[in-house]
Amino acid sequence: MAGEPEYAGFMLHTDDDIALALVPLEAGALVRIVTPDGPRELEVKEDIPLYHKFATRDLAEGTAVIKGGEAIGVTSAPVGCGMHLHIQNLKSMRYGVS
Amino acid sequence: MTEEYRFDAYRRPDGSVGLRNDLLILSLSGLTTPIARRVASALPQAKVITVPYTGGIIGEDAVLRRRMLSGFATHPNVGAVLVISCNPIEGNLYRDVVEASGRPAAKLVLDDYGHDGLRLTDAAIRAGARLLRELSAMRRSPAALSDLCIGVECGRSDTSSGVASNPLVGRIADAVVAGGGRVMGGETMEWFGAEHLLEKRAATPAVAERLREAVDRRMQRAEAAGIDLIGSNPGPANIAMGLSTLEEKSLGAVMKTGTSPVYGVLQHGEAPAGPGLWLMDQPFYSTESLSGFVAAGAHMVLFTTGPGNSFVSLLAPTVKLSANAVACRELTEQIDFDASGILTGEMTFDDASKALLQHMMGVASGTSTFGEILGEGDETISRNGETL
Repeated sequence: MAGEPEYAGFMLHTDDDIALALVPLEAGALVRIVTPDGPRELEVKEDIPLYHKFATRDLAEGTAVIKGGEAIGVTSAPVGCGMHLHIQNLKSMRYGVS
Repeated sequence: MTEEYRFDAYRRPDGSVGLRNDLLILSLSGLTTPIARRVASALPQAKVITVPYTGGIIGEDAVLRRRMLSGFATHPNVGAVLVISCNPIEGNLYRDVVEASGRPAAKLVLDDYGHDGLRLTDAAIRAGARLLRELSAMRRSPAALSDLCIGVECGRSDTSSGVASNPLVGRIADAVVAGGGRVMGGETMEWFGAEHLLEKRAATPAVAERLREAVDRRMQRAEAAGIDLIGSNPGPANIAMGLSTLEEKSLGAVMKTGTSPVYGVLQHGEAPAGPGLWLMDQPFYSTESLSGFVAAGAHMVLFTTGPGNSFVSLLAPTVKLSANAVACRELTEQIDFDASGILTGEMTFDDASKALLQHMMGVASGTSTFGEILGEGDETISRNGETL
């Protein structure tokens, strides 16, 4: 695979709403992502720390966020594709945690 | 894909197979702990389990202690047992448990040596040496996945665990179940937040009910102790590593159990009644959790970690795996299986599953894990109440 860019993102399921940063990513970086159906690329809009999540599509406020095929929470604000998805904009659905 | 995975194991008279042929030095009394350790230092091939609790253990603790000690004494990887006790009642009881399983046993009781620990030490080393020689004459024969029972565990997880090593272990769990073997998952508190996913897989409504009850009971105990599990999960360390919600953390953990139906909920240390996937209602802490699987007869443990975790089971070879590339690079004498290629696109989950199953067959047939080589293992018995 000489000459190919290294993967810097990972998606467990191809339809997931999130990808993981495999290295610390800087805002504006074009990221090559491993998915079960082969590589895809997208630009991250914010700095993403190692192993943190970024959105792989635009998510409206109140959207159930899917990772590994299962909902891991709901967005508490609109999250654009490539933005950091974490406790500031992703909340538990199960126990009403604020 | 499961029929090609075979291994060589010791056939026991009770029908089980052993991946190891250990002499277990089982000390039943806090009083005999130092003696058992002294005996073990003279017999480096033997493994030693000591329990600090003996007198005044009542109620559910007494039941649990007996279940755990019996499970250790007749563990499939144990070929013979040196029982060391302070009193004849317990010494005879566990010697009989071992002998009923068809394994050779020797019993040494402090009462028989006038409570002279040195004389008992001398006799125990001699008896242990004879048992070790008897064990060394046994040979392995072919076995299949249907003979195998594994436990799945995680400790010091990070985001890579939830998306790579735990789903990988889930695939192995599915393969072992498909091959007719047994798989145990546990760590009840990790079901909290993923109950809805596990309940969907319950083989019967009664199993779903028991899963719910198991989580609720521990939640109530935490609440009674003033601990806010909902508000404190995920914790600050989880959040720093990128885990955002309880669901995300729990989902990552329960992926270790794969996708098979859950046949039943076991008590801590209780053996599964048949093949398939079982969940054990038990403490989450690794030292306790692993011992629950071991007392229930787990031959082997698949133990995922993120940044690393040196602890292993004493009796069940524990395959430590990580998908954290830094841990795999740095912890070269701890991580038995490097799953980091899943995240870098070098390995698909299918490739990794085949490689890990092959690795497990090697370990099952006698290849040592780093935890075994370095002696990182222990077994323990959990407590619920106070000694009288």
